[in-house]
Amino acid sequence: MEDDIFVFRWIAQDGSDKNVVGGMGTQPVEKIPPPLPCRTGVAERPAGPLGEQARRLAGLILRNVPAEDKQAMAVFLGTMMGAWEEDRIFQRSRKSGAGKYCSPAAFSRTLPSTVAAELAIEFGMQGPLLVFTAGAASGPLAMIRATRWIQSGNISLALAGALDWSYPGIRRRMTGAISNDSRTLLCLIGRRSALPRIHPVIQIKQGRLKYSPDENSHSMDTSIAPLADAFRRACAQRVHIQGKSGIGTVCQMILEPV
Amino acid sequence: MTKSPVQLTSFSACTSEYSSLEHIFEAWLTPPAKVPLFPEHADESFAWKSLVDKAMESALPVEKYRRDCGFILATTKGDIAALEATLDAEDNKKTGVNDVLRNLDGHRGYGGISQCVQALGDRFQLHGPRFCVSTACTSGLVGLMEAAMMVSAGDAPRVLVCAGDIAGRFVRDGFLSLKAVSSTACRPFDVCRDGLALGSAAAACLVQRVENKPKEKQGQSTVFLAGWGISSDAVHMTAPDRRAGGLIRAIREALAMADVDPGQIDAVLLHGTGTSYNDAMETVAMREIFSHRPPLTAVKGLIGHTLGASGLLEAALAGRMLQRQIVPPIAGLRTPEYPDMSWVRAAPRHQPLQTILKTASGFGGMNAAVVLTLSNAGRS
Repeated sequence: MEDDIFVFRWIAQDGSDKNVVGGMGTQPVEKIPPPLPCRTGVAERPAGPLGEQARRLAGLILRNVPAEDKQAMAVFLGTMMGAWEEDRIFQRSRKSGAGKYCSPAAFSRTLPSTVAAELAIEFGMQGPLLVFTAGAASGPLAMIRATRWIQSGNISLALAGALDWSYPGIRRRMTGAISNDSRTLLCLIGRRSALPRIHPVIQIKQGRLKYSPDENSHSMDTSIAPLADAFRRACAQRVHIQGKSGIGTVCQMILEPV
Repeated sequence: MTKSPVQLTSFSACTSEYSSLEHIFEAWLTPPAKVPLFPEHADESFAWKSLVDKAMESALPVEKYRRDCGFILATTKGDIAALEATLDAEDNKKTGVNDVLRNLDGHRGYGGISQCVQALGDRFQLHGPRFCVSTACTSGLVGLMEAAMMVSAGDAPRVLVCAGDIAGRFVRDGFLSLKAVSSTACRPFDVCRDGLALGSAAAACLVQRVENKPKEKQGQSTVFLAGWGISSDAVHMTAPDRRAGGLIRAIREALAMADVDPGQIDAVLLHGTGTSYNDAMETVAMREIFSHRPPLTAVKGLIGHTLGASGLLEAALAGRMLQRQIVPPIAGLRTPEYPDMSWVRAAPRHQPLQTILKTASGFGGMNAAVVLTLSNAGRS
């Protein structure tokens, strides 16, 4: 059963909004298209720059996917920092209003699941929405959980991936493994039969979780850059992914080109 | 669909008002006339730790079963006091580094929910896969489903799922800004309802396959998680779908997985926040799903909306309903707005219970439903 799960499309971008660190499937993307039609209402704007970026990348990935397939689609996102930027905005509104005049729009975006919900609303995805956190393994974890849900037969198609904020406080503390950029990675994952007219680019051969006390340290990284690199390589060769987190959870996947 | 019921054992729960699941259940049978709209915490971080510690301690497997026990933390924001401290430190660069350092060294920094998972997993020596699920106010139920899927798929022989959230000042200010908080009392489904109350709570449950379950005391009844479903409204960030499309889909998925007809549901424990949109949406869903009008109940009028903890806490209460064969009344309900429904009010209802539906909904249009069943042996 595990051999029947594929990545149809994937794309990754760093938070600078200029550098594409991944591509669309096997093809590099030179330029990310401009934002979707701007939402001017304060209550309707997306959750921060990464929320906006996720909308754009999801728009690319879901292009040409039939509406009925999108409707049944699930969303699985991994994030270490959750709604960090939105937390800051809401906290500032609390402080400036002395707790009496907070921004309701900002509060509604302070959940780690905000971006997943915004994607679902934007693209009409009515399947399960799940958001996971496991330190630097959050991205691979979301992929593996999406795989499990597909294997269980509960869903056949999911938009999976990860996004994370750059976090200056943590960066000042940590050295070495820390990525300096916020990043987003999204992929379309499912059974081959789910999208017969779209050719998959990567096959997911195996995915599992384990605990390793050796990884249980304060090492932190945004897991998205190594995941994007693994996806890029897996378009041409077999790749073993080992997503390690600071909380002891290790996510292992084997990817193969189709 | 997955068709492998898993056992739910060692339920536990506590709130800022009640120290155990039994205390909550007993209070629910005869709810007090007046309940607070907000919990009071002198130290919110201490409250978070003490609640989740208490819930987990009561649900832990014996030591030899912890070596490969997975751990799922279900929460909306985790240790929100640590989040606030770090946010404030970040805005004050002069002291930011030291504050972040202190938070990190205390395992409570906003690294953030991940560090809560790490701290709890280490403290209780749970050495299976660990992670956090955060899906707004459906987090508790979704954590339960994830645990069931993990044991069903063989990712871990057993998984301890803990759901915990604190309704601290950050959350209180947010819900006040949304004008969602009642001015008097939380009265779900009542004509006089005017909003929710907030609560702080934690709940925990050990999820395991039948063959991995340690021997229990003779005569102890067993609760099974027979089916579950999740869906998204894909309509609005804070308001539910007025046609209840997402909740109806989640319930139907859960019933199908459990291989149960709507007519076999003996009672429903609703989300029941006491906000007009939520109550109306749930009523629409109940009318659409059920023709036989099963008894409907809700508990948030007693303990408030406990956010990410509510799903698991209320699933634990549903488990107690099955084991004790009793449906407690909707706390706070006096005059139903929708009198055609079978609301349980004023007094508990004693009746045979074999199968209960538990639902939850949250920001972002998230909906979750689980079907809990009781082993025949446990039925009194």
